[in-house]
Amino acid sequence: LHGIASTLPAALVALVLGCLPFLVLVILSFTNFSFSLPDRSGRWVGFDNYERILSDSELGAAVLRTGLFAAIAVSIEAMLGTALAFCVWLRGGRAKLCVLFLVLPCLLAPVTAGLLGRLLFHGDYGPIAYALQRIGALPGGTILGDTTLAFTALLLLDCWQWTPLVFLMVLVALHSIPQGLILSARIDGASTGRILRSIVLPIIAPTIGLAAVIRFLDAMREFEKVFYLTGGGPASSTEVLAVYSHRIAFDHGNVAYAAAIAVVGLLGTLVLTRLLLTSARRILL
Amino acid sequence: MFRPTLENIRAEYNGVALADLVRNSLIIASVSAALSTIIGAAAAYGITRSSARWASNLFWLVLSSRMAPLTVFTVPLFFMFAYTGMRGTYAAVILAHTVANLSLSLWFLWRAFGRIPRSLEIAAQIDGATPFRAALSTTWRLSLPAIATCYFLCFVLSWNEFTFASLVSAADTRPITASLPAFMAQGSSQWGAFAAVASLSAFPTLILAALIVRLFRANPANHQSLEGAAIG
Repeated sequence: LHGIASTLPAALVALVLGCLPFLVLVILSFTNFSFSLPDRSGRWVGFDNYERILSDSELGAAVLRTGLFAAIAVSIEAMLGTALAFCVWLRGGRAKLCVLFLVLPCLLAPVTAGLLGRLLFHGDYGPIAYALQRIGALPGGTILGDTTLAFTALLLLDCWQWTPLVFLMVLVALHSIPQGLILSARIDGASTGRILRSIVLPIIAPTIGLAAVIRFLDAMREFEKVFYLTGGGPASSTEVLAVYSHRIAFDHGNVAYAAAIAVVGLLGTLVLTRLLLTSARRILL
Repeated sequence: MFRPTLENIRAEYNGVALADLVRNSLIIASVSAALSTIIGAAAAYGITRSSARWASNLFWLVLSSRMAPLTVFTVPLFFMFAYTGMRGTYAAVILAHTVANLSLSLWFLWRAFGRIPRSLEIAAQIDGATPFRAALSTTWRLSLPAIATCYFLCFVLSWNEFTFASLVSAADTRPITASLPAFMAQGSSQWGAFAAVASLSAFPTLILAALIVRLFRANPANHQSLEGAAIG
């Protein structure tokens, strides 16, 4: 009991720091507060902002785009990361230095990754765009100015940055498999393929699942990379949910509407997290 | 075509001294990491020592708060800081980063404390230590490596954080990561300068990578710290 009492102040601080902003957010979402209004005063408007969400077709498109982006990116990252982890694991001790290089991208600040991508893909002075132009594979002359190519560039950049995360998590799981297990299977006459299928895969499957869940939820809130790679363009072809709501809140100054979107987004996240975690647990364990 | 040069590692860009950017980053990252580690540690300790029933939902709660849309945090915090006039101060950025990292440190340290058997603490109390002393010299003492890891993780996360830092800071309190886009304003993209500052800003990250590799070498199955890094 003493332990609880002595940590009560800290728990209280944690609660206040965590809950006060949330309370402000919910209250804001029921007003028409806006930074672009001259007097900056908000009036209670009830559920107006929430009704607007239902009829906002731009928002719907952004949500779909985000889902598409997350689904494609995570599938590629999960497969590639697992494959890489297997390669390094099978090579044993000789591959340790390459772990460092493989891990680096996912530790970079996302804003650095976004700006770096812009540097590489830029139509006027980006080396990738230049190379594609030289071999004539870029009729439009631009990557980030083309709706499909910009989305592809975004996917590539995300895979470059986050495949290492899956790789790292799976590699750790692979290393936690007791050697004796594999040895005894081998003594019993199991082939390498059989060992991979019946021993290794069941052990690392939950880790792959967890990595995919974490990556999926993270991709759904992707902001900085998109914001600085394309800024949501061209013609909102890469405008994911986070970029859209950021534009509403800080470019249009419509804080109240952005707050309503955030509240709905938060509820969606809670449901999605719970669903993904339980279904992943049911399938994989 | 490519001529190597040290031209880009200058002391000053567009009237902003590089040293000032690094200093701002150091102040913000070290203080906010300390705050989120201390608060997280105390709260995590309380949770491990109370009933396990609601602690089991902690992972879900922490994961959802990490995965919540960014505007869930940016909108109210921006509003609050703008309203109270705190916008542009170190305190605003520090508080924002503390809030953002609190769930990570709470979860990370909850796992760390959970590993240390309760009986150690009780044994110390039987030997005559006060409950406070007993906790300090057993659970807390043994968790020191985890607490240090947590501090470093929070430090790097705060250092790398961009959105809050650029929204809430002013010109004289802006950390280095938040100042990066300024080097690629349309028309006059200073790619050399950008690359120089970006490399500098990635320095703590490099240390983290080296540490992860070292941990990995020491014990490849060391889940805890890697998991923390993964969630972060």
